[in-house]
This record gives sequence, C-alpha cells and structure tokens, in this order.
Amino acid sequence: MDRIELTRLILIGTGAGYVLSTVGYITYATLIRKHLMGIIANALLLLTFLLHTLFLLMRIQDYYTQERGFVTPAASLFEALSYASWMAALIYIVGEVLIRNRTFGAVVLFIPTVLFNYGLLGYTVNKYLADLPVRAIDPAGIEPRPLMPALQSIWMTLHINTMMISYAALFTGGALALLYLIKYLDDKGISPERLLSKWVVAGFGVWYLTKVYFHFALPRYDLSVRFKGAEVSTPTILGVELLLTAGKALVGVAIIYLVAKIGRAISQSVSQETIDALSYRFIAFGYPLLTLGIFLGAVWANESWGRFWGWDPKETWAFITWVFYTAYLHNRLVLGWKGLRSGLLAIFGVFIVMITFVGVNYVTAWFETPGLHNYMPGNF
Amino acid sequence: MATIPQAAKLKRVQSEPGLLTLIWEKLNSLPFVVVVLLIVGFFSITGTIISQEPLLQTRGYVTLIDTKIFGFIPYTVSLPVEYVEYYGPIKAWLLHFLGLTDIFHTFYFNLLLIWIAVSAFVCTFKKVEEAWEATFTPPVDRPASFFRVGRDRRELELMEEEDPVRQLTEALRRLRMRVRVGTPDEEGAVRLLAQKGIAKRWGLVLLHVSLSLLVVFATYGAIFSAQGAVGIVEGETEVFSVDPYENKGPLGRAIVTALGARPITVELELRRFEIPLNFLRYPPEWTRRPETPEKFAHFFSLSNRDYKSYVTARVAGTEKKWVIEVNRPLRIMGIDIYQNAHSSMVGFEIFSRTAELSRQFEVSMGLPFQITQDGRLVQHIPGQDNPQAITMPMAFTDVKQGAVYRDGRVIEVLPPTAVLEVYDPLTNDVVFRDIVSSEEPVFFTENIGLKLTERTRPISVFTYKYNPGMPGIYLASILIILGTLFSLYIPYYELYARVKGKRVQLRLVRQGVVGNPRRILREVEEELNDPARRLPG
Repeated sequence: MDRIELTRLILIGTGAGYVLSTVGYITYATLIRKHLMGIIANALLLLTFLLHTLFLLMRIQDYYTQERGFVTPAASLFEALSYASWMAALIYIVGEVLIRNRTFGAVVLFIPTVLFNYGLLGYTVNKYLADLPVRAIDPAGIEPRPLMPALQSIWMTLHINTMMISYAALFTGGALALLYLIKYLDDKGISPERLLSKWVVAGFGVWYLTKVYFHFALPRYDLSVRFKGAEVSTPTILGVELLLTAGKALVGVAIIYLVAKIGRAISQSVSQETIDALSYRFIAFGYPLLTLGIFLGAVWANESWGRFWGWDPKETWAFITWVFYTAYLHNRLVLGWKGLRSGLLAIFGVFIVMITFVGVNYVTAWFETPGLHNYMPGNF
Repeated sequence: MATIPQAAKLKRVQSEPGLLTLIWEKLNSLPFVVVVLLIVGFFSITGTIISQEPLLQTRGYVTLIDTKIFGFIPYTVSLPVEYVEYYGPIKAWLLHFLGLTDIFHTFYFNLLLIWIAVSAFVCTFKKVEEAWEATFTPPVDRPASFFRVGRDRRELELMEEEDPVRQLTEALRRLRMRVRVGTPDEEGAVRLLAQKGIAKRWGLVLLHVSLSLLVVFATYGAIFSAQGAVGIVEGETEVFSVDPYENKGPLGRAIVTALGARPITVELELRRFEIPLNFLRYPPEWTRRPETPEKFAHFFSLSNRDYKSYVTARVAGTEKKWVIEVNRPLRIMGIDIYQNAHSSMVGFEIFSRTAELSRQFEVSMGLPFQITQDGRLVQHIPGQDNPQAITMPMAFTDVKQGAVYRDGRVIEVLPPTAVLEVYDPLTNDVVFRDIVSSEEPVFFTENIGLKLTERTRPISVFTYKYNPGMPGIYLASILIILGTLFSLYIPYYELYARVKGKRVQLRLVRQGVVGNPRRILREVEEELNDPARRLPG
C-alpha cells in the first residue's frame, strides 16, 4: 500500500470515526445514559482524534520533506477544513475534561464531523461520483501538493493556528448557544423544532428563489451546468434544483429535530445559566485569539504583499467577524445582554465565521470579486 | 387654549441640547456605536460582492462620454472595462458615483471608521474616570439592604470581640486585597471595601486608548507614506525617489508640504536575478493556462513568485546587500522593498540566410513592436497600422532561460527562449505563434528570419513602500490584544463588608470572564477561620 492510499484510508476512517463518535455521544445523551456508553463514546472520539492527528503528522512530514521546515497542514481548502475540525475536536476534548460533562459532545461534535466530512465529500464526489449532477468543492488537498511560495512563512503557522483555535472556540460557543435557545423555547412552551424548522424551510426557499433569479438574470450562474452539457428543458432544470433544495431543507429539518431532542436530554442535567455562561466563555476565549490572528495575518500580509491591510474580501470578512464579536462582548459586558439575546447573537456569529472561513471563497467566485486568499491555485 | 408661560417656554428652549452636546452624547452612546458598527459591516459586505477597483487587475478603461443618466444627467467618466461589461454603463456609473466600486476609500466609510475611533477615544474618558474612581476613590459605603441581595454573599460572626474591623482588614490584606474602610451607617455598622484585580479596569482603558492610537498612526502613516514600483534590468542600477508628496490629494499635499516632509533618494542595484525553471515542481494547472497547447507547456505560465533578486541598496549613506524573495522584503532606513513581478529585455536579431542582413534589437517582453524601413524598432499601437513598418506587429509574450530542474537537480540549461506572437495590425488577432530561441530561429520568408541573442536580460520589478506609521500601528495592535486580555481575563473582585459588633456581612461582586467568587469567599472564611465561625443558615 503506497502512502497516498494509506492517507485515503486514514481519512475515510477519520470521517467515519467522527460520525460514529457523534452518534455515540448522541446515544449517551438521549438513549442510554450509562457510564459504559459514555466510555464507548469517549473511546470512539479519542481513537478518531488520534487517527486524525496521524494524518496531520503525515502531512507535516510531507511538507517537511518538501520545504525543509515545519508547515501547518492548512494550505488548501480541504486541509483547512480538516485542521479546523481537528482543532474543534481538541477544544471539545479539553472542554469535556474541564467541565466534566460529556453530554455536550452530542451537539458540539457536529462541528468537526460536518467540517471534516464536508471536505471529504468534495473529494469523494469528484473522485468516484464525477458523472452525477452534483458539484462539490475542489478536491485539491487530499493528496499532498507543493506549497505555494507565499505560504512558506513562519507567519502562516502563527496566523493559521491562532485563527483555527479562535474559529473552533467561536463555533463551540455558537453550538452551546443553540442548546440554550432550545431550552429557552421549551421553557416558554414554544416548540423549538417547529419554530427553527420554519426558519430553515424559509431560508432554503429564499435560497432557491435567489438561484432561480440568478439563473435567468445572470448567464454565468446558469443552473444547467449541473447537467454537464446534456440538453435539458428549463422546467426540468428548475424542478431538479427544487428537489435538491427540498432535500437539503429536509436534512436541515431532520438535524433540527435531532438537535432539539439532544438539547432536551442535555438540559435535564445542566441549567440554562450554565449553558449560557459556557457559551460566553468559549466566545470570550475565541475573541482575543481572533484579534491576535487578524493581527498576525496583517503582519504576514505586510511581509508578503507589502501592505498591512488591503480590504481583500477575506480580510474584510475577518474585520466583519471582529466587529460582530466586539458588538457581542460590548452588549454582554456593558449593556448586560445575557441569555436569549446574547445566545441569538452567538448563533448568528457562527454563520459569519463560516462565511469568513469558507464562504468567502464562494462569495468571491459567485460575484467574481478578486481576492488573494482563495485556497485556489493560480497566482502563486 | 392654554398658553405656556414665557418662563417655561424659555426653559424648554434652553434645555434643548445643542449640536455639539448631541454629538458628544452620540459619541458616548454604546447603542449608537453598535449601530455604526452594523453600518460599517453592511458596507464591508457590499465591498466583497462588488469588485473593488484597487484589487481589480483591469484590462483597460472605458471612457463614457456625454451619455445621459436617466435621460437628462450628462456625465463623462472613465471606468474599468470590467464594470461596464458586468453591469452595463448606467449601473456601472451609478456604482462608481456612489463609491461602491472603491467603498473602503470613500469619505463616508472612512467617516464611519473615524466615528468609531473617536467614540472609543471619548469612551476612554469615561473608562479613565471609572478606573480612577475604582482605584483611588471607590464607593465604600453601601446601605444595609445591599448585603441582603445577590448570589455571592456570606454572614459571619467573629470569635473575638476586640477590634473586629482590624481583624477583617488584616485578613483581607493577607489575601492581597486593597482594603478601604468607610464610615459607620445609622446603625453604627462599619463599611469596608476590599478589591482585587484592579488592573482589569485599566485594561479597558488600555483597550480604548489603543483603538484610538491605531487610527491615529494609520492616519499619520497614510499622510506621510509613499509607494511606487521600479523595474530594474539585471546588472543595472536605478535611482528613484520615495516622495510622500506623490499620489496624494490636495489636502494630503498641503499637510506634507506644511510639515516639510522630504523625499528620500534610493539607489537600487540588481546584481543577479535567479528564477529556477522548476516546471515539474508545481502541478501543470498552476503553471499554465488551460488553453496552452502541449508545445508551449513551459510557457504562458502564471505569475511565479518563486524567484530571487540579489540587490544592493543605498540610502542616505547606508548600504545593504540582500536577497529579495517572497515573504522576504528588504528593509532599509524605514523603506521596504518587495518583489512584485519579473519580465525580460529580449535581445533578438533579424537576419538573412545570405548574411546580407543582420540587425540586433532589444525590446521589453510583452511590448508589441514593428521594425520600420529605416531599421528602427517602434512600439505598435493596436488598431493603428504604421505605414513605415516593414514587419507585422509582434511581441515576445513569454521568455525563459537558465537552469531547468527536476527533483532538485539541473537537467539542462535553457538558452534564451521565447514565445513569439505576430498580430494582424488592425484587428490585433494573433496570426502566428511559435517558439524562438538563439538556436531555433523563426523564418518569415525563405530568406529573412528572427532569432534571439544571448543579450536577453531579466528584469525584476519591485514595489517600494515608506510608511512611518507602521511601528505605531504594530504597537497599537499589540496593545489592543493586551487590553482585551486584561479586560477579559483578569478577574476583578469587589468585596463589600458591613461589620457590626462581631457580626460581618459580606457581598462579592465579580467582573470578567474568569474567576470564582465562591472560592474567594471561601478563602476569606478560611482566613478568618481561627477567630470566626460561620453562622448557621
């Protein structure tokens, strides 16, 4: 077995491991609240984490051989997703040890599971299901690639690590805020499943209509590219798109029902105030690191591109994220926002961080705005 | 109808806040700043979905002349061609007019940023006042009702009756708390305040001051900065001036002139230029454009930054030798010099097989040119056929030379080799494209040909930047991070106490993310443990 094949196996094992350990934690939180089940969930997570760490070490070794120095394995979109998910898992493991409550894993572990498998899905789709009408992210990164010269810098290591820890902490804070929201709505006699499902369905509805509008208004967003050159009538194109969007909305609703069920189970053992305080603490942990990460990125930009700050789309979204969390902390510390309002901001913050981390690549691609941070080959 | 008495009318008129008061109030208002932050966020998002001119590598500009907006507003404006293609002329003009094509440099966006900075500065006064009060004149005396509410409170009874205030004060001081004794209340109880972690309050001051400093240094840097680009042929030296007066608006120029900022002369010599032709190092889709035929596999490469420029710089009597690479700029006397791009001066010869003709020229890579009847090389302007020209317009679009590597080893040394493109003089379409080198000439006729000479020399293009605000920006950024850490991670405790006889009431107030109020209360109890016993309930 060659090294690339071994890497693939490790990655598939890691992806499956994250799914299994999340299922283990869900089972522990909702169905079998037995010590043994908790131990099994812990063991699954630790095994997955070790497997993931092995992949990162192999990739570090690849880069070390190639570049004669340490390189953080986050040089492509897949690697960045993988590294962020590893960091989120690490933060959760440390958090579980400190908090001594493993039920949170049922919700928080969704973050590394989704991030990692999203990256892996892109590879799988491109590699094995290329003929299906499904687009996916660039698979570059699963197999080791040469490092672009601009990325060969100590500032990259400092910047990326700081940003990844902050993203992981902010994601975790948002996930805990979602738990808070579920408990809050339950206490008010409002079904969180129904309310959130309506929002999800409405969101996907708006998304579908936006795509249809783009399809007709802007030729470059032609939805027929999904069919890879096959001649398909407009109603069929719109129908397939509707089905796909409805499918995604259904998955979203199913996740909400699942999370609500888990949240209800967790909230039996933890008070609302504790969840709120934990969410706040994770965000307060992530915020200084976000500030430091942006600063380190700016120093790197000054070394590499000759300017400290250039309003590149990625930089701008990092600034938006910083502004948002500054407002969050101000509202919490000065205006005394706690509980619901603070929690809603924390949940919304996850979307902003997601755009900064991954979404900005799509934003710049959709709107053809030039940027230097695109995890894409080209201007190397 | 009831009439308002004159005095009341006057009072109402006088009580209305003036503009300055209103601005001061708004600067001090947190909700207002949050709204401004949201507006900044909105414009920032807009700036990421509309291409911004400074980031756009435009193909050229289109001048829209004497067109009527909405049918009656005439305008003349020069816009990058991409905007006109993407949005159409009217929308493109509107976006440009509203500043949305360069939003981060519009006056209103910068005004919003300045508002936030000034607001942070104004807020600093409030924070200084609060920190000063907490440090030097904290309110010690709290009413009895204050000790009956709140989660973190205790009631203790001291074992010894003798001087209970002294006992408590000493115990708290042993816990490294700053203790202040207040005045007795109406029941004769003595009030105390013990504080721990006062640095947190000053951390907030530091955070706000450093935000203001960041804007101050950024503005200072913007006024006195200078930047530009210079291309240097290998083996040659360029002397250029770094002048803060250039590329400034009228106000910037006036300030620079008034403050007497002077240009700095820089002498930069490109001793050697080295670009490893490491074609196999990078995946092909990184190094060539998708449409590149296999024959031109090593050419039409995208901008490769993997190269080195060996330079010597001299500024104000200081000399520095350096190898400029990506992530490794040259720094000398406050001026930073970065690698930007590379090109070539292509040496070529037009010759005849019969040796009747042999004439050598030198031209920049990418520059379209023609040869005239009198043997001169002239630049070709697309769409304009030069009647004096005896050749079609042509250009060397990519040039490679030097050692070719594979797996870190040199496998061959490539002589100067270029891609030659020949254009239709009127339509500018490529009519011919081939590879030419000193060993492989291209023939236009049976007799006349073109080949490269050994005189092909690389050009390294550098950008230079002088920004005296940078050290201040770095300092302010570090202070922001420190201020954030201080204000979030130093726990600040205020322990209020009310002592009446042997009975002590305590209430703890905590600020910050970390800290454990119960632990602090337990420590106080333990410290008082010998002479005190906790009251049941």
